[in-house]
Amino acid sequence: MQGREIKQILALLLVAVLMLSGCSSGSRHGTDENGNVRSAVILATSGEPYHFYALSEQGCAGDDNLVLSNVYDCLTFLEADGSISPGLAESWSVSEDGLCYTFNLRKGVKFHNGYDFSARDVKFTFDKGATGPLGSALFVNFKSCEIVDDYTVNIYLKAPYAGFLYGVASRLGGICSKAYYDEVGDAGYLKAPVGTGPYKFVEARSGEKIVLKANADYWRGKPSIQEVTIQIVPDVSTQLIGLECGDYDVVRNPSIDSCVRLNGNSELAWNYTDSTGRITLYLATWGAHIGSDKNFRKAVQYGINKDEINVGTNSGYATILDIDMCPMYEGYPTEGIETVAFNPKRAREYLAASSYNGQVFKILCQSGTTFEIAAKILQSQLMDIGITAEVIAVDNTTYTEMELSGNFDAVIREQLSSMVDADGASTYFNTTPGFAYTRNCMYPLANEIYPLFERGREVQGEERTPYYTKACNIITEEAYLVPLYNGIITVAYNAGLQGVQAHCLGTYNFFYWSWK
Amino acid sequence: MENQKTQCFAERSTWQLIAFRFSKNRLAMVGVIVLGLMIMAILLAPLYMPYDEMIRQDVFNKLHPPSAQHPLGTDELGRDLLARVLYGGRISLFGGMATITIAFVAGCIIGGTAGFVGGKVDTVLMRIIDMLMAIPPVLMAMAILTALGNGLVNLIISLAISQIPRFARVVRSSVLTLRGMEYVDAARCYGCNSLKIIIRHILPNGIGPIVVAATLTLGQIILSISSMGFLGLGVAPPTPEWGTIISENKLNLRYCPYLGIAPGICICLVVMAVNFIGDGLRDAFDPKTKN
Amino acid sequence: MYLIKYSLKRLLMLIPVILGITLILYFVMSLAPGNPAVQILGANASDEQIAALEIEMGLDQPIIVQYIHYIMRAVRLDFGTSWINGSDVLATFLAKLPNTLMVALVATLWAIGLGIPMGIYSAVRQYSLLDYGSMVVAMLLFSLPAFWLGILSQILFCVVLRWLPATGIGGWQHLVLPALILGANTLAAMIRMSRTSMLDVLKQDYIRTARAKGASKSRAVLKHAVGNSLIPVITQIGISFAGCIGGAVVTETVFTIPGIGAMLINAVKARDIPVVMGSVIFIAIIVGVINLIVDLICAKVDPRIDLAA
Repeated sequence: MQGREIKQILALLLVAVLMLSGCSSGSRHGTDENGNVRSAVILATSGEPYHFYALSEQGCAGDDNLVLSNVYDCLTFLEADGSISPGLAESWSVSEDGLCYTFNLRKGVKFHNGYDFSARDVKFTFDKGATGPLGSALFVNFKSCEIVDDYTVNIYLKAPYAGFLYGVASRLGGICSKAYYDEVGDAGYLKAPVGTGPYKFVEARSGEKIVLKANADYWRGKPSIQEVTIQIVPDVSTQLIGLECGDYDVVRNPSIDSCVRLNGNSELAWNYTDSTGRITLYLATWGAHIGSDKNFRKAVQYGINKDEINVGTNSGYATILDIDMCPMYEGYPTEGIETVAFNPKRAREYLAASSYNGQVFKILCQSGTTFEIAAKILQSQLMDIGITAEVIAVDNTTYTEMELSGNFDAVIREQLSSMVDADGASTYFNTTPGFAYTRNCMYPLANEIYPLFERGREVQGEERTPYYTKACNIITEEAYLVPLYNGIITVAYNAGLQGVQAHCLGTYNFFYWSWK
Repeated sequence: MENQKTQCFAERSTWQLIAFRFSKNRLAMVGVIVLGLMIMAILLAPLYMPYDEMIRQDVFNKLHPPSAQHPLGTDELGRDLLARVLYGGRISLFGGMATITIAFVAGCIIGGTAGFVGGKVDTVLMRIIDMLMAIPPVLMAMAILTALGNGLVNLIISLAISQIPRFARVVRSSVLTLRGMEYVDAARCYGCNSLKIIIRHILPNGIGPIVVAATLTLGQIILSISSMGFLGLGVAPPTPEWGTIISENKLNLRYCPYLGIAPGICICLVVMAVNFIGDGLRDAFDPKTKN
Repeated sequence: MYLIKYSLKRLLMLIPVILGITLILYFVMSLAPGNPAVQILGANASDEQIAALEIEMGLDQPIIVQYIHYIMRAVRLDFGTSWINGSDVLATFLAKLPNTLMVALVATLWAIGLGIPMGIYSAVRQYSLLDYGSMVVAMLLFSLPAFWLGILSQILFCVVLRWLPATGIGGWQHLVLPALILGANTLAAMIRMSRTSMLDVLKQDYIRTARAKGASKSRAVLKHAVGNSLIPVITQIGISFAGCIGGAVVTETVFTIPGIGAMLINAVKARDIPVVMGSVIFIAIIVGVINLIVDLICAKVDPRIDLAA
C-alpha cells in the first residue's frame, strides 16, 4: 500500500512539473506566442498617476505627467533632452519687452471626442490653469489670454519671465476642450478625460493599472503602439523581476544599480538622462538648530564627499553639482562660481571652531528613496569628521509635516523643477510672507538672496546669469545647503522596443515607441 | 504508562516533574541549545565584532560576495552583512521578547481581573476582547501603526496590543478553572486577601498554559516583526533588523541572493527553536495532550 | 429553517461587535498626528483653503460628533473617500476583494487537500518515518517567513527557470506561487491539527470496539475515525482562512497582486486613514461571516452540536 501511494505521488508531481514547464511565459521581442507582431506595451511604475485632468481644484502631481503628457498636447513640447519644440502651436513669437507671447495654432486638430480644437480651448486652459493650485508655480506671471482669431492667441504676462515656454509645455499646459468642459464640468472631465494627444484614456483601476489606447486620428499620425497599460507596481525590486520574466515591457525609473546589471543582456536594454531635479542637503539655520552656527555649516560643507555618494547611490552615473541648479537650467551660471571641494581636514578645523559639542545631528529624508541611501552615506561621512549624525527616514506624510515645520537639523530634498529654469533654486529663499516652504524655515540672508532671483526673472538672456552667480555664491559662502548630485531618470525595457527614451521630467512619449 | 512515571517520581515537586519531562523532550532540547547559541552569539557580538564594524560603509566595495574578510559578503553600502545580521538579531529577538512581555503582563491583568472579579466586569471586558478578536492580529497591528507612525517602539506596542486579547482569554479561562478549586476556598477561609490568593495560589498553578501560549506566540511575533520590517513598517533604517535587512537588499537579491539567505535562515532557526521549546513546554505541563 | 434563523441571529450579533470595532478604531486613528486637511491639500495650500476643508470634513467638531457622523454615513454604506486619490473606499475594496479571496481560497484548498491526509496518515502510522517527516515539514512551514520564501521562489521559478509569471493576476499560472506560499501556514496547521485530533479519536472506545468486532484498520479509520476527527480541523480551517486574509498583505506585496492586502499596506504607509478604517471593518465582517459558516458546517458534521440551543 505504501509503495503504491509513493508511486502515485511521484506521478502527480511529474505531471505538475510537465504542466509547469509547458507554460513557460514571457514572449520576447516584438512577437507574441503566435508570432504576430505585438502592438501593446505594459509599463511598470511605482509612482501612481491619480489625476488625468490637470485643471481641477485637486491639481496634479509629477507622476500624473505620465498620463497627462500622452493624453493631452501642449502648445509647445518639452523633448526628452530638455529642448522646446512646436506642439499644438505651429510657431510662436515673443514681443521685445517679453510681455506678450503670440501662438499660431495648428488647424484641423480634433479632440478624442471629435470636437475641433481652436483658440477658445487655449484661452480656457490658460485662464483656468492660472487660477488653479499650480497656476502660480507653472504659469508664472500669467496675466491674460486673448483670442486674436480662431487660430491665433496672445498671452500677456505681468512681468517678463524667461522660462514661460517651459510652463506652456508643462503638465498644466495640456490643452483641454472648452466645449466638453461646459458639458460635463470638473467632475465629468476627471472621470472621462479628453485631449488631443496620441493616446486616449480608457480606464484606471486605483492601485492596479491605467489603460491608454492609441488615437488613430492623431494629427502627427497614427501611433505604432496600439495599447499602453501602465501597471502600478509599488515594489521596485518586483518591477525588474517582472521585466526579466516578460511580465512588463518597460520599467519606469529603476535604480541605476540594477540597470547596470542589465549590461550585456541581449534581451533587455536601458538608458538614462539627467532629470530636472537636484538632490541637495539643506541645513536648518533657524531655532536652536546647530546649523545656526556658520562654522558648523562649513564643517558639513567641507566634510561631504560627493563622489562617494554618487558611487553609492548611482554607481557614479550622476552629475555632481556645485550649486543648487542643474546645468540644463535656463540661466545656469557658468563663470565665477565659487565651489567647495571635499576636505576633511578643513572640515575638522571648522568643527573645532564651532560651538558643536556632540549633540545628535538629525538628517531628515523620505524612506524608501535613493536619497535615503545618500543620507546613510552622508551619515557615516559626517561621523568620520566627528559629527554624531542620525538619519530620520520617514513616510511621505510625516516628511512633509516635518519639512514644513522646519523640524530637522538637515534635510535631503529632491527639488524638481518643471520649469527647467534657474529660478527653481529660489524656492527656499522666497521671502513672500506666508509662503509655505519658508514660513518656518527662513534663512537669515534670504532678504539679500531673494531679490537677486527676482531680478534674474525680469531680465532676459545673458543678463540673467550675473544675478544667479551672485545668489549662488552667497549661498555657498554661507553654506546654507550642500548640493549633492543631479537627479537621474532611468528606463529599462525590452530590447525589442525602439524609440524608448528617458525623459528629463520622468514621463515618456509613447508616440515615439514601436516594436521592431 | 503515565501512571508508572508519576509514581516513580512521586517524591518530586510539580516543577521538578515539569523540568524533567521537558528535559526528556529531544526536540525541545535542540530548540533550547539552538536558541541559546544564537542569543550568545548576538549578545557577545560586541566582543568579537565591534559596533563600528557594522556601520562602517565602504561603497567602493559594495555587493561583494562572501569572502574571508566578509564571511557573508557586503550589502549595497559596502557594510559587512555578518555584522548586520548579528546586531540585527538584537532587535528581532529582544523586540519579540519585549512584545510578548507587554502582551503577557497586560493580558494577565485584564484576563485575571475578568476571571477573578467576575460579574459585570467580566462581561464588559470579555465583550471588548471579543470585538478585538474579530480583527486578524496582523491587521490590528497595522491599523495601530497607522495611527502611531513607524518605528521600533511603536511596532512593539502595536504588536503587543494585537496579542493582548488572546492572552487575556487564556488567563481568564485558567483563573476561572482555578477559582473554583478547593484549595482556593481553603485559603480564603484562612483569611487570605485576594492579592495573596492570586500570587500564592492561582498564579503558580495557572501559569502553565499561559507560558506555553506565550512561547508559541513568541515565534509568530518574531516573524511578524520581520514581516513588518520587510513591508517597510517596522524598524527605521539604518538600524538593522532581520526583516529590514532582507527588505534593504531586495533590489540586489536577484544577483546577490546570499544577501537574503543568511537573515532568512536566522529568522527561521530562531522561530523553529522557539516553537520546539513551546511544544516541549506544552507537553511538559500537560502530559495528557502529548501524542 | 432553524439554520436560517440561527444565521440571522448570528449576523445580528455581529452588529454590536462591528460598532465596537469602529469605535475603538476611530479613537485610535484620531491619535494620528498631523492635519488631514493639510495632507489632502498638500504643502502648497493656503490657510483659508485648509480652514475651509476642515469645516467641510467636520474636523472642527469634537471627536465624538465626528464619530457619530462617520457611523451615520457608514449605515448608508458611505465609508468616505481615500485621502490620497479620492476614490470611494467601499467601491475600491469590493473591486479588489475577489483577487484576494481567489488566492486565499486556492491556498486554503490545497492546504486542506494535502494537509488533512498527511495529518491522518501521520496519526495512523504514528512514529513512522512519514510521521516524523510531516511533523518536521509542518514545523518548518510554521517558521519560514512568507516574504522570504516568496522572494526566493520568485527568483528561482520566475527569473531563473522561467516556469511561471512573477507578478500580477491573470491565468492560473499567476496563482501558483502566491497560493503555495500563502497556504504554507495553513498546511502546517492542517497537518498538526488533523494529526492531534485523529490521535485523540483513535484512543476512543468505539474505535477499539470496531476493531474488536473485526473491522480492518483502514475501515475503522475511514468509516469511524475520520469524520469524528474533522470537527476541530474545520474550526482550524476557519481560523486559517481568516489568517490567509491577513497573510495576503505579504504575498500581494511580493507578487504585486491588486488585492486588499496590497491596498491596505499602501494605505498604512501613506496614512490614508479612511481606507485603513474601512478595510479593517470590512475584513472584520468577512471574518465574522467565515466563523458563522464554520459553525454551520461543524453542526452539519457533528450531530451533537445543537445550534438551536
